[in-house]
Amino acid sequence: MIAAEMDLDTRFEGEPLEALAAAWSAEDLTLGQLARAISRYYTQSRLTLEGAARYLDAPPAELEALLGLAALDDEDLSRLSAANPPKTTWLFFADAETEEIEAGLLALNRDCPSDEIAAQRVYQAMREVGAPTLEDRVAAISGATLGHLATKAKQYGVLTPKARQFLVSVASRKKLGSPLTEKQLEWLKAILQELVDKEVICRESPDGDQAECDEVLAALGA
Amino acid sequence: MSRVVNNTPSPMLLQKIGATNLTLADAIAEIVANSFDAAIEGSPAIIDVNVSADEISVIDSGTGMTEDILAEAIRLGVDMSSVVKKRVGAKGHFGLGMKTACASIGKWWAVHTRPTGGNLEYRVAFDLEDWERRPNSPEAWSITIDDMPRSSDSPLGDRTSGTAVIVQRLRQRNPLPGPVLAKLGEAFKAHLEQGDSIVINGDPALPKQYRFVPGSKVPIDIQFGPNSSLRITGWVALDTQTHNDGNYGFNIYRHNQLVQTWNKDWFAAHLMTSRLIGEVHMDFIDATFFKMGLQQSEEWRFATAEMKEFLKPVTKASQGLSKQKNIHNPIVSRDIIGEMRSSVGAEEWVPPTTIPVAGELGGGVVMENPPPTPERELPKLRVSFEALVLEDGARIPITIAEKAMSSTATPFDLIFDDFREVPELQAVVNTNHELWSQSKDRPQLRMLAVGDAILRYLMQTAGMSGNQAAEARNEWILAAMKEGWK
Repeated sequence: MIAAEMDLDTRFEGEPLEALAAAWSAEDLTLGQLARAISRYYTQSRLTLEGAARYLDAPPAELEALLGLAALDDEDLSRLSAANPPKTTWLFFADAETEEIEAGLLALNRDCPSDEIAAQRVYQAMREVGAPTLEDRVAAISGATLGHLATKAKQYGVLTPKARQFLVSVASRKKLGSPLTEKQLEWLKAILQELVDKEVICRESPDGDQAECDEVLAALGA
Repeated sequence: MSRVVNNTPSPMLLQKIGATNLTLADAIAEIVANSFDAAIEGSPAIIDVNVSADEISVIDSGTGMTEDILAEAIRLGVDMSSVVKKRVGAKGHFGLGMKTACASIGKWWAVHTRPTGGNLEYRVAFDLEDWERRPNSPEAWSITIDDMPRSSDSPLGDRTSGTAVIVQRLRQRNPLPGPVLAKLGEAFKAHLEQGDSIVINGDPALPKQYRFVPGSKVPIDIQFGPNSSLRITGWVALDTQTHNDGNYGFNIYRHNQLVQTWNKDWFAAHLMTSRLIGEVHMDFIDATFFKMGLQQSEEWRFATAEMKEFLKPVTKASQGLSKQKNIHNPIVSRDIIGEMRSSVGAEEWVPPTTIPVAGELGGGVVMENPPPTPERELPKLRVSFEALVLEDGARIPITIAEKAMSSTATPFDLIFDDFREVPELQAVVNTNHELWSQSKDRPQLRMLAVGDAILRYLMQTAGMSGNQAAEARNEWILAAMKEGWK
């Protein structure tokens, strides 16, 4: 649908770099048209993200957001085009599923206090309908599983004693219902990833603990 | 006046030799090494390992032992090469491995053995609690070897010959088979690749597959010695991980037969050089090579001198990659590998995946190891509690988006939207950039990103001079810190 709205070949003629610059500065394009045109000529230009951003005098993050939006399916992108959301929401829409996009746009159109931050409103609405994040999923791994992994890591001779002790202590904290801090969550993620990399946690565990392994693999999205 | 005293070791010694730092997997590997030593020449070794909460067993179909050989094998410190003709590359030399391993695994063990030929099999059992009670006398070390007719009820089952080591009253509760599978697949990688097999609780041990640093695998083809009559061929590469388990170095082959695993004679072995993994074919070494001892072989001395020289750049690269997390930096890694390849005379390596760059605009960044495509997930949004307040009273709220960007070159950036009633400034932190992974203080990194976004916004959009913008940025940072930024 987006592609049908304009003929990119005739609208921006010339070398990819010229076409890229022309598309970037065109003021009459919808968001969808802009995203698809930028994506097309950026790919043809063979520039890096930073190279293209320098050429266009644009922030790389804004370019990245547009490239992400261009990868959405036509229907989602059309809906976004019609709503023309603020740039500060683009990165979120670019990584969103249809359901999240719908929720984000609904939140955007709601009557809200004038001092409410649009990006925050959209993000919160998207999070409410979206799948749990990696952090949410890792934080939800049971204490029993983490305790088991501490024992298992010792038998495999992996992880430092400090990291194993950390797993034991997180397992106890979970039993008490204490939430993890951001730093603790980061460390836990790194430890679990190391266990996956070293095949201590795997799809076909020989150790009779497939349920625990699957719990962690699902949380890590591995 | 002098006196002859009884110098027999205390029976407690048998208990004490088990007090080692061996992991269960290490100890089983020791016993499996004996099974490889006893393999029948010309036939692939077949070794069964069983790990359960009550018992650990290692059973092979090797040559087995006669009663006399078994009697020597169970004595502490007997060099078995003086008792039996061992095949080239035999691993056991000091007569301690099996006993130490068994004592570290459990408090009771038995050896059943069935030699080739004959109708009998032999059994000997050690009970450490019984040994602890024995009086300190020469007789304390006496032990009975039982002989019995071969029977399928024996742990050796229907095997024609072989040896079974059974350990009970285990020191480790609920031992897992996984670490044993992993250890044996790594320690005996070369054997497994040659067709020998080890099965643990029904699962075959698979030779460990190493993940080498891209471009680090280089061929070895060296001719040396008198009239260049000696030749070493093979390869060496650098593992993406270091090894503190000893499973690195070179597997040495003679006429395609593995004669030694993980030899480390050609470089200073320590953690920083433990990425070195290689295979070399040295057909010139004598069949009695290991019995002669490495130092006595002239060919070995020649080979060692050549290999030491050849490996200098490789060990240097291993050390370089292990320093300062260089292994995680694709640009530094590429340079280290490039220098190594050039120094050993290998062809220049072209990364298989490169992002093309267009002249000067590209900034010259080539990604050798692009980060894995992250799972599709919303970037994280944080709202800064300190908005940017301009002189005219305009208040610009600030958000922080944490996004895994497609590029690893930009650590943080900004997005500004001023088409609405309330303009918004967003600092974008790239979680794919090294700064993010290396940062030990994420809140400070976020503050840095917001400070950068403010400075750039004020200069590029609000038209302030650099000094004015920096002053405003600094005020904001101070205010944020006073408010307890985290």
